[in-house]
Amino acid sequence: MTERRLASPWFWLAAAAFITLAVFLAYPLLNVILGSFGRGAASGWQTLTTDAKYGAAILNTLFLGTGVTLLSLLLGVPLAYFAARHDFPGKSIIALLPLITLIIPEVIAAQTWLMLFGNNGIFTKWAAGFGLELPSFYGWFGLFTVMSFTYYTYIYIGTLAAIRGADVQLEEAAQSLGTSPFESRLRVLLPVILPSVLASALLVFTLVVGNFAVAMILSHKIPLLSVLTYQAAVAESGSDPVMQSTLATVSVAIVMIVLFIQRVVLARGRYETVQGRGARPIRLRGVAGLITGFLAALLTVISLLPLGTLVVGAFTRARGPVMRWGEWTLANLERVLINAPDPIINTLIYASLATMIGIAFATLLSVLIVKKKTMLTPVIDSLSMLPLALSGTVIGIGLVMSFNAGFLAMTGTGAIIVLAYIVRRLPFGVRNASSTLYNIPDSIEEASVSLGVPPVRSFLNVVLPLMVPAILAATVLTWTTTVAELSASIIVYSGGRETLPIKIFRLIDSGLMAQASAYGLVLISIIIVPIIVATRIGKVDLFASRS
Amino acid sequence: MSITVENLTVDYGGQAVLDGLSLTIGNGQFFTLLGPSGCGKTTLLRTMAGFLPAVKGQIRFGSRDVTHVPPHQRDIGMVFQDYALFPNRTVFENVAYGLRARKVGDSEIKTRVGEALERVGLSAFGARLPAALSGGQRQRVALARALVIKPQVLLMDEPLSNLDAKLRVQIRETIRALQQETGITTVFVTHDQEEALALSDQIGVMDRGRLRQVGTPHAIYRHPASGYVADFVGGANLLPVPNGAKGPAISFPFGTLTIAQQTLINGPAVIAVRPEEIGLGASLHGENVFEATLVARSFLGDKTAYRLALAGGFTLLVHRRDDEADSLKPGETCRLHIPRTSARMIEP
Repeated sequence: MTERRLASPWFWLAAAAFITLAVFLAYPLLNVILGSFGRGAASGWQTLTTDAKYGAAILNTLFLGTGVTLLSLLLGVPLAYFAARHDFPGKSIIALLPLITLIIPEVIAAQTWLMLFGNNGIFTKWAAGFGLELPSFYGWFGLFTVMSFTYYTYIYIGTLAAIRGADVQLEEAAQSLGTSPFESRLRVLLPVILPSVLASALLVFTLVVGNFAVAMILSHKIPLLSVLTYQAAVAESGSDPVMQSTLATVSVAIVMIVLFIQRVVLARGRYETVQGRGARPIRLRGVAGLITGFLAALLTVISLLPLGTLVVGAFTRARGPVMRWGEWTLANLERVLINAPDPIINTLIYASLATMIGIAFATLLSVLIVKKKTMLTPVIDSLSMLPLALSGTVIGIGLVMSFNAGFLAMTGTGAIIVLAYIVRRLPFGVRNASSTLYNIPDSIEEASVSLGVPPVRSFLNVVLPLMVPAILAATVLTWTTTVAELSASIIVYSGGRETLPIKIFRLIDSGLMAQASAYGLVLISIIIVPIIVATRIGKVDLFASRS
Repeated sequence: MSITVENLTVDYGGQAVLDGLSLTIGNGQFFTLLGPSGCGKTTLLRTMAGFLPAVKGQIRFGSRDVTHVPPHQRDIGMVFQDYALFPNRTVFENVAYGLRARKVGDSEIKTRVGEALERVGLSAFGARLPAALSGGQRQRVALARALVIKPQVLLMDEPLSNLDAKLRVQIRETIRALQQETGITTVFVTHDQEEALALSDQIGVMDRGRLRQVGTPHAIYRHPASGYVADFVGGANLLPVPNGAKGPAISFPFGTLTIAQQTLINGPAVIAVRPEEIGLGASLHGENVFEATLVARSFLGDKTAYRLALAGGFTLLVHRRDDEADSLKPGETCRLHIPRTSARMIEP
């Protein structure tokens, strides 16, 4: 038995995967946590309790997370319900929503909202023309607005899948037992979808806690955990390694607690839905239909507003930070594409390397987790999901602390950016590949073996070809999220290695919105083009493995 | 090719699923492993295939010890419950797969795959993908794929259980005909007694990791060695024999039952009686006739099933084809007769 295990090539692959994960994931995290204790009296935890700034940052972060989650629920749940159960004019527009989350990087969302409602924003000026003074977009107002409109789609997607998956026969059963349609929905549908809704709400909460781009650009004087962590890591006046570790550990702890709650809730509340019938959408007629359609369309338009603003901004003449709205020019794009294309080239190189290596590694991991179980499988499984609990900032800090010197000195090279990308997107790739692997029965591999083909070749012959569509979809999705990555790469990058999101972030910081828009437009094309090619030409179903 | 299993132990997560099992299957035999789910029949089959390692014991194909030979070198054909066709390959390519692995030339592949598909009646379907076939057709392809390589041993893991009743009978006949034609030693796993009785040369009835009885279908049905086998194959009423009872007249709370059997069992025993061998009627009298109360009756078309209660808490299931007892209502009493020769004393 033991001899057999050692002779299996999968065991050695599992061992190699485990070592890789331990070195590039567990070790950096360990460094972050240990770093928080500092040396001697200089423990970060002491500072944390004495300096009121940090306590406020933690409370603010929790407040922001809770508020944004509630607002997102308020937007996402009703929209999902009406989309799943009703037909109304303009419903097809809603189908665009999942794509919006994909293609608009957070840094661009923050930027374009600023271009609309910031101190020099279009709406701000327009309102001023009527003598109206809009509240400052910097601070809570902007944070809540941008984050809610960015994250409600996660709730929408999660809830929609849950409602669609719920068996309408349960409601019919309830009605047959004498409860009204509304009451049936409340008492039968709601409990069934609640775990999924809760899961997506907790996801939004963790995303807000870890959010860097929007928080950094809009928080202004409100101390937030992610902003303070970043500042401790890269402050111009000299960084604070102990505090960066301490704050990073706090954010890890918050997310861990949330994930723990999620696990408890899901363990208690996930119901096995025996595949039943889905509900037939009921057409909303008259005023109800018009109002629902109008509200849904409005929401979608608001979600798409950043895109429009970006396009307009990219072609608008600007002198320094002053936008000359109405005067059109190609100068911004020309500058970005011809005079300073470095960020574009960097992004393309780092992201393609990271996507290729990342997808190959994620595919291997998923095979080791789903198909070729060894004694290392449980460890590999949890390690590969670990980045879900880590914000980009934490990952960046961990990598810099771990690979600054020593046997794997990577700081200052492009390699560390690629590594940061891979680590951050690993769980998505693994999940994607795993979900297809679960659907491929073991018997076809055994059939191949029984017909005389050795195990590894059997796997390559019959299982791998079936994974190809899912791998392609995962590649596209990983690419789109990798090119938009900001929070980890901004910590590990060094001069001359700016990527597009980093460049855009710097330009926003300097108030150069026209140029930021031009880079943003390039970034969004880099995201959109592969999606279009994959879905239209390659006929890849990007979301086949979700739901 | 005969198959010999000697003292085989297989465990699953530290728990022995098979514990010291021995079995011999003769060359060219159609051997069925029959038993309820969880009895270890699939484990035994998969160990023969090499997908599960043997902790102890030996498996031989002919005189060749295959215990530690990996599955791809055992020269087996295997048919799976879920067909296990390669979904991205055509029917032709599915059947050709094993031949390609054996480096058979293209022209020979063409003729052999053609023949194999013709045998299972799917000559016209070579270019189709498995998704475009019905369940029955898919299982025929799987059969052709396993047989085309002319394996030494054909292993089938509940190949009919995903098919509806009519198809099951049809494919069953195809399987039997192909096996007879090719003479390949075949091990067939099922939980369906009718399938086992219809197909097999020999049946091995399994229970919790052990073989309870091996024999021809006729022997298993007519002379079950235990109450377990009698009940699993054909169904039987099992009356536990009171301690110390000495045949041939055994006293039960409901009366004295006399059996024809001469050799009696030492230790715990049951009396097994087939439901269809019990007589029912108001006017019965004499030896082995007992008073009973009708508990429930269900009309099954070709027969009627009666559940009857006897004194002392015993219940009996009786199947009758005639309508004699039809006027009987639940709660009413009647008489039943157990013929001497129908009552067998066997181990539980």
